Amino acid sequence: MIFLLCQSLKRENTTESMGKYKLKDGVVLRPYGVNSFIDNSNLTDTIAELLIKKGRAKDSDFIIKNKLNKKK
Amino acid sequence: MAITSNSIDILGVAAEPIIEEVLFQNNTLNKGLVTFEDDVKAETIFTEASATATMQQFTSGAPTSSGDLSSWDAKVTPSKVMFYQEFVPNDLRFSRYKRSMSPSAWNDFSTEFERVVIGGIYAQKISLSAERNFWLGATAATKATIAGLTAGLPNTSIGAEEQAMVAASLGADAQFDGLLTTLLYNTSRAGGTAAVGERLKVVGTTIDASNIKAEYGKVYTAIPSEVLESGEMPTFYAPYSHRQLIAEFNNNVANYKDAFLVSGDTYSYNGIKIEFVPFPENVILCARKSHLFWVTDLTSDVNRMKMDKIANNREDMFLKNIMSIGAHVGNQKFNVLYVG
Repeated sequence: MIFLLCQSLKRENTTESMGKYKLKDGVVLRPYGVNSFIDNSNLTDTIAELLIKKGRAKDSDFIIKNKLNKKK
Repeated sequence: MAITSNSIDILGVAAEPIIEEVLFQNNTLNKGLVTFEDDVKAETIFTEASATATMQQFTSGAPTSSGDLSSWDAKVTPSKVMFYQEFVPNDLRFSRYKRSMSPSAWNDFSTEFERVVIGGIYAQKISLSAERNFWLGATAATKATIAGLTAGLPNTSIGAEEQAMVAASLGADAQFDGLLTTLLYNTSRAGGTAAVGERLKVVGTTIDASNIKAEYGKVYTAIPSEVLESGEMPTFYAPYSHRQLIAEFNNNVANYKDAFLVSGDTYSYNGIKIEFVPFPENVILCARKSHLFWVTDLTSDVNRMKMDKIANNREDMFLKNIMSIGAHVGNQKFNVLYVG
């Protein structure tokens, strides 16, 4: 029981290595014209936030994992 | 590789001419939009120099040295690349191209196919690929390095927009770092350390027909005054779509006068010529042509193609084009790069 509790606390204090934003299945962004291409292989959180801010992507394009990235 | 030919047996006559794919022109080569530095096999030295002259009080005694004289070298090596394709002329024996094959079963090579498809479309595609790679090329390593930089507002940092543009649009065939990549990250500085380029960064937005004048205005304002003062005028390098956006902006009855001057195929803004190149959308570069270099061994290599039998005892053939190509940017701190 104590072991499980420790494991659970440890998980909460860890930032996941994956980014906060992940494109939903099948979503590809072309923010700089038809020859541009963003998918999960070249997406970073900075890029995702920028594209949302500039209106070239919508929140609904992403799976946003903000609740998992809490640090103490 | 065999020729993909979905042809029908000719029973009557074939219409002339063959409908060729519509292609852009390689204006970078045809119109000489950048400086061509040829006769470069490897490791060309580009030298930049600057000086500061400081006036000081006269003294009849021992003077103090003041000011600065500096010069540094950048070593540039073009990448050697090639295009290679194999094909079987016999694949066209039942197509319209048989009409231009000489008599004899030995002869299955169509002069019409050579003229239209190989010498026309394929050769032009090579030329366009060279141009596209020159402007947009980026190796996987450089893309990864730029993606790993911390984005920031100062000119010494990579911009978030620049980082997104690199991730989304640069790479092409990933054989070498093209001009936009070189503008953003290079070793062209004293000591040769790789770092963010010294371009003058302008943060932009999504350009459309309604704001295109305002956005060109931002780039114009960022040009250092000394660049406009005398000598060679800089050039705006813009995506092809701006030709249409400019036409739409100018086509407004409420405008007192056209903001963009258009005379035939010549476009300009505030007296600075606009040239259209294969840029990503929302990207504008303003620089003197003499600051942008296409480094190569021989410029005409782009148009030279070798075609022959693969071996003397075989009837299939190959097409081969070899060239060396690279990009270099000089006087970095005088070049304005707008990324929206």
